[in-house]
Amino acid sequence: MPSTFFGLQIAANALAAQQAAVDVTGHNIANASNAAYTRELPNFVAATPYTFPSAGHYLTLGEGVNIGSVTRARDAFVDAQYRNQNSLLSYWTQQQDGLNKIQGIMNEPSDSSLASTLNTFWSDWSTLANNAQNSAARTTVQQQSVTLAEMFNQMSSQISALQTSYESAVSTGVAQVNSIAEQVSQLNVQINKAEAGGSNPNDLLDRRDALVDQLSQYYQVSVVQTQQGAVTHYEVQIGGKDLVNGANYNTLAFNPAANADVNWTGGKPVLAQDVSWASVTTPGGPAQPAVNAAVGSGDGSGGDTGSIKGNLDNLTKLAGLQKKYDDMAQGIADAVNQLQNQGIDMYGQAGGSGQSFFTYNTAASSQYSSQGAAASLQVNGSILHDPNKIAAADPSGGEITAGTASLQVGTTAYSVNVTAGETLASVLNALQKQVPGAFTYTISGNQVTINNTTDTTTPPSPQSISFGTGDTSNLWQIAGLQTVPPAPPASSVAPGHSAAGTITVAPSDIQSNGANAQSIADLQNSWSPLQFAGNTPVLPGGAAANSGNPVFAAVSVSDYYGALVSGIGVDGQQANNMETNQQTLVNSLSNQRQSVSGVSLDQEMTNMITYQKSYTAAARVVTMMDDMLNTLVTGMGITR
Amino acid sequence: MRITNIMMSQNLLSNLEAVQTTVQKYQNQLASGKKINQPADDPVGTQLTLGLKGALSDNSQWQANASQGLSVLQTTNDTLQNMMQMLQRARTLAVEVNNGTFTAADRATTADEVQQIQQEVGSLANTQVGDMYIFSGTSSSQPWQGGANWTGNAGLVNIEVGKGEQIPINADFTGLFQGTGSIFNVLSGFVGDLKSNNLSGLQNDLQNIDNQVQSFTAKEAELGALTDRVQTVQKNLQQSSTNLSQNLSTVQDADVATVITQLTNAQNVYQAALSVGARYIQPSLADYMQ
Repeated sequence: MPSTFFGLQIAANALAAQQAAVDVTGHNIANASNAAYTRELPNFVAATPYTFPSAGHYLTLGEGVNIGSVTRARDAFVDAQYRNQNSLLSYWTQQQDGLNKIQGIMNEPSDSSLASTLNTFWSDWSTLANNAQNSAARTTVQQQSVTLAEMFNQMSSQISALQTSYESAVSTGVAQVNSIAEQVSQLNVQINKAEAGGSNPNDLLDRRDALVDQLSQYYQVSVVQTQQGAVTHYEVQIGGKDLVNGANYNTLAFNPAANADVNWTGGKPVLAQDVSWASVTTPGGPAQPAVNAAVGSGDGSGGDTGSIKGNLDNLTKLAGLQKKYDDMAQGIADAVNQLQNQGIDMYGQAGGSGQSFFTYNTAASSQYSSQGAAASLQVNGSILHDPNKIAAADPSGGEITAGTASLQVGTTAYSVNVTAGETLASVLNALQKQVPGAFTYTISGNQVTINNTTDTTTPPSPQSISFGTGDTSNLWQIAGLQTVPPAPPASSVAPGHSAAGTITVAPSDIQSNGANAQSIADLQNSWSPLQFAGNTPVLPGGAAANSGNPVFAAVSVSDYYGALVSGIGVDGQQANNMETNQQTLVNSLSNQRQSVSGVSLDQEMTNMITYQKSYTAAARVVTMMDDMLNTLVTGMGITR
Repeated sequence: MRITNIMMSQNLLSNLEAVQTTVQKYQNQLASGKKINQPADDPVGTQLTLGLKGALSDNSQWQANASQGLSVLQTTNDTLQNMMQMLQRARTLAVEVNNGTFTAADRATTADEVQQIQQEVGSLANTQVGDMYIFSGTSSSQPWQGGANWTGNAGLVNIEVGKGEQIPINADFTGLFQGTGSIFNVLSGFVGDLKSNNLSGLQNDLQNIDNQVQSFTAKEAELGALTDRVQTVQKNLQQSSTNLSQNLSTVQDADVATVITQLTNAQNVYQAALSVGARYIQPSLADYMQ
């Protein structure tokens, strides 16, 4: 038989339970705009019933209601999906950011870009070709060359600045990851204590989930939870290796080396410095990372997405870009230098008095530093000082008329047919083939030197090679030599005169010949004016060119640059599309998550009304019981 | 699906952002007048644009070369014609002095005039266009140094008017001005014969002057052909420049009418999204509870 006051107890339980439920609702409403908050649900449980014997059998009476627990409305599966997609989104956001900045540096297509500067550069050479004596045309070429060099310097320094900023972005990201790992491990300790005490540390769980969400920006992470008795063991892994294991956590490190940041393998840059595990305190086992091992395995098992990977890929891309600008700067400089060296300047001197037009430094192939050709491209000081040293004239650029060029070796005459428009070099080449090994020649600046190699007398007689008197090829008009040469000095050759010596072209005869400048202008469309040794242009003074410079594999530097720009464009387009897709996916997953875990004010209001009405009703039960007890105490019995 | 308040605001925000991105894209296109503002907008179009711009820059340089060449050729033509007039005058004199009624004194007087003609031809032969002596080949020094001294050469000055296409803007003038058969030598001989009253020599001089007239006419014809060639090339270059500009415009320029329509459309969507958002975010059950 239950006590007289049994009913009051039921009502009291109900009042307490409804009040607790309203508290939970209030907590939910208070956190309605907290995106990291997980909606909580009061779980009403009917109280353990009271059982007593009555009329020969047992009767069971309910004892009202209790709040069994307050649980979080959370879907761990959607969480895992959200984090995976979020790390992909961060990766593409960084890629998009990097490519946008690269496109900003390129500033293509516009009227102030490298492409338009190059166009102007080449056409200024063409103008010089038409006005070789004009000092304004010379100054224009000089100044436009300075502009071009500065353009390359600026590109290179902007790329370097971007590299520095992405390096620090990676470092900041790594510091964040380390800080989050520490916080998660501390939360693990607190949560486990609370769980051991039998309570629901819902808000701590929320904080931990929010931290792992944040972590998923930086790396693709996975969470492993194992139930150990009353407590849950919580691990956070990157690429299958523990970042946090219960109360222990590991840290990452990124130390960009000062100079050697890239290894070139197979023509592609590979960052020498990856993010690696720095200190490891988690327990041993397959999930324990090795110290100094790279984070993420590169096999797609994790660590290969997220903003840190995105920034590392940006660094790789920038290193490749720096190299391409270096190649272009070096290619242009090598090509112009070669032609400059073959030409004649306003003083009748060879190749700007034997000096290069452009100067540059080369960086070691392992470096992406700002020390390469693009960063150091400069117009040679002597040309800056005096634009008359630009070698616009071509000693072999004169027109040869059709006819026969002949050469006498000893008593034998050799002749070749010459077609109009051939150069001195091509005629001498043809003669050389007629008389194999008989003589060698070099054209350097305004001097043509012919050496006899057949005469083995010592010292070699200079009298054994001569040009035939029947020479009708106007060979002697080449480079402005006069039709009827004056009696040549001892070391010169002329029709009917002995060879083995030097032809010197009078400076005044070649200054207005801008053929060499035209050859340089022609580089705009093809490399054909250049002499190559293998796939490398021959450099003045036998200097070693960048062997296998890919610029020379393209039709022209514009062609190479066009491919570079459109390559960046394709990458940028992909990054834009991927970012948009990924954003949509993350939004949809975030919606799914909010659908489960978010607070709906309508729902909370409805619940509140339910709880409020239940509370009022329970209070009515108390009043009712009071009335009943009043009847019992005051209205009944013999004392009245 | 259970809809919560955060979902509603997140969705509204991301939709507004999407519409704003579209509006901004069209605004950019309108402001710049170009539909390619960075390579990612259209990688293939970007490469085409770069190629076309390079071709246009080539083309305008070739046009500049051609017009420069044309002015040199025209000046050369005019100067040659002036020289021809001098030669005609010399020929008239040569015919006159071969007339038996002329006395030795008359011939000596004529010699002064012929000397004057030689001077004038010489100074015409030193004509310059810009820094270039038009009759001196590739030599940059003044070609006529008085008398019969000629330092010009036979070198041709070429201009580029197309990919690898070069046209000379002068000719080999050494035949006219250099050596024993040059105009200067002929006129000097004429002067000498006049002064020495060498009648048989004067007959020869008339013949020589006739030959000179023929050589000059031949050179004029040669230059006329070159002028024609440069003019034809110039017309072709103008035509192809127009074509290239049209192609460039097709690839990179925004179609203003289309873009404005698209922009207006996007703006309408944006306003609709804003007004719907303002109405749909606001109320909850709390607004209706007592």
